[in-house]
Amino acid sequence: MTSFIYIEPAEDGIDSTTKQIASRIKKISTEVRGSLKGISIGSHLEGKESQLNGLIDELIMVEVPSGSESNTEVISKILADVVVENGPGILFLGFTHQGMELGPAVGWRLGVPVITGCVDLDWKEGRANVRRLIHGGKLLISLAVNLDHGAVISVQKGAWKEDGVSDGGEVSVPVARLPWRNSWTAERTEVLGIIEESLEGEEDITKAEILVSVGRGLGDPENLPIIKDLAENLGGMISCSRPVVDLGWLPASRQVGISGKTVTPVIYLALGISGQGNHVVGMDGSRIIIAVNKDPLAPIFNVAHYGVIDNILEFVPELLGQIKNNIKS
Amino acid sequence: MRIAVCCKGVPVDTNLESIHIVNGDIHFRDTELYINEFDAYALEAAIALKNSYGAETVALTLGPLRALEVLYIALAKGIDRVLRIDGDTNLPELIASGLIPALREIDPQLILVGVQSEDWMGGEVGIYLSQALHMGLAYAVIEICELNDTHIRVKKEIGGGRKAEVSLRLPAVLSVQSGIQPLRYVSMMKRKKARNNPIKSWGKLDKEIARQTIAGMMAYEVKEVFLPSKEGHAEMITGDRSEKATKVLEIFAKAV
Repeated sequence: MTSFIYIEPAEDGIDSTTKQIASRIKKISTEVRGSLKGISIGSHLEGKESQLNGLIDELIMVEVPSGSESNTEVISKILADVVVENGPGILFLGFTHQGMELGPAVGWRLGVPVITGCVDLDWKEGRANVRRLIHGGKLLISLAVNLDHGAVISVQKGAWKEDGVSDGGEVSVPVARLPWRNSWTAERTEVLGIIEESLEGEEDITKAEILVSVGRGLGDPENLPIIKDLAENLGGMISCSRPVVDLGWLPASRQVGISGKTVTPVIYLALGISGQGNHVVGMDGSRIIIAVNKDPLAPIFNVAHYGVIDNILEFVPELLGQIKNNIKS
Repeated sequence: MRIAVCCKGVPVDTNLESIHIVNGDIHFRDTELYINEFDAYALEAAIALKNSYGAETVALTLGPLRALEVLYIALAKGIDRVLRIDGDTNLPELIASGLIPALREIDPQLILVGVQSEDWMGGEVGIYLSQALHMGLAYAVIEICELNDTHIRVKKEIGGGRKAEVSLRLPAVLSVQSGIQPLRYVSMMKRKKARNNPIKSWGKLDKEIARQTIAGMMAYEVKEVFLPSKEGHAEMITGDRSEKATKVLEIFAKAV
């Protein structure tokens, strides 16, 4: 058995989820996990291989023509071929936008079990017990997976911590280079361009020390002014979860989560946000998280440091009232 | 141009009592089903294409009789025709296996699905369909820019606020992100009217045959459903509303 990790590109080299996965798998005994091989596609890791020292046993760098590096049709073909030729094995990837798409595509090509959004893994020889969230994070399920012929497992961002791997930190990772093959050429899709978000004229929520973040619990856009008033009085900025953007109540530049920004303020005040995984991965690095939600079972309370069970439309005026009274006195 | 929209019925209630594990699969009992919100966005996108390009639209669902409600909503929103495949499963591989024969018969140029389901939260089904039917795929589509007889051009999210513009050769599968079109309210009157349409079962998912056909992928089973551990749960601030607000402001004062 071999363990593979797809090394997803990030602005500074390697996506943090990749490092989290590598840290966790590296701790599993070699007899169970086999050799741990990273798969990097394209040139994004060129000259940055040392970031993987101690994290993996070998790096497979696959050459692709310019323009194909972000084509998921191409990447899924490459990953399937690399696993077949070096396997059988378990392919791990992050449950990121790219990983959400690649995991099932590669799993279908390989004909192996696909487990998405894994938050916990207990791997013993040919079997694993995997846990994943369902129902907006309100419930967990455990799955028994037969790994005899391999599997594809995508891991929820932030579920595992990047720590404890220091052995071999100074030892360079051996690199195997794989030249481009025409069989990997995209037949159905063409990436025409990548569109970077423009923040012109907008506040950058990633720079905020205090974020007052609002979710679907807002109920109506007419309730936004009081939230903005609170953010202003606390000296913070306003941010939101995905439904608020979908409903057109706030612009996408305010969105926190897997599709939006990753934020790490001193205080993140989550108002009427249920706390689905796609939102949590964008804010769980905040120093203090305070959640206000009328649903005592809201998953946000599993990641928050402090919780208040209340209707935000009644709680926020109380907060504002006290702030204004404190200013007066 | 024919567009198929795959819609899932998801349970109204989220509670442990309604979830039963049967042969490694999840079944929901004693709860109504409503349309998965992400699939509702896919329906809206299909209807927008129908209005712009004159496309014929077909909605399909795999589920028990209770899942008919999903199709009534589709009809009420303006989908031309609907069909239900009889089956009860929440494993994405089996859902895809049940949809594939119907989709082969419908022979659409475009298949739309929601980017994920509210209950399983995986997003696998659209991807499996694209692989099985040898179609191109765009995942997390937020805008359909252009459609012609041979290609479709879309914008899709790639994470961190970035987007990619992608061209796909038809036929293709689009996994549609929420917010692609505004969700329109469907009046009770329209839903009642839709219920007057008899909807025949298109066929039945034979889970055993499906499991054998994709035996390698089915080498897993659901063993247990449970509530997340209280470990790591927030310290709850109690008291009356005024006391709770005071305590929250004290946390702010200490931290900043």
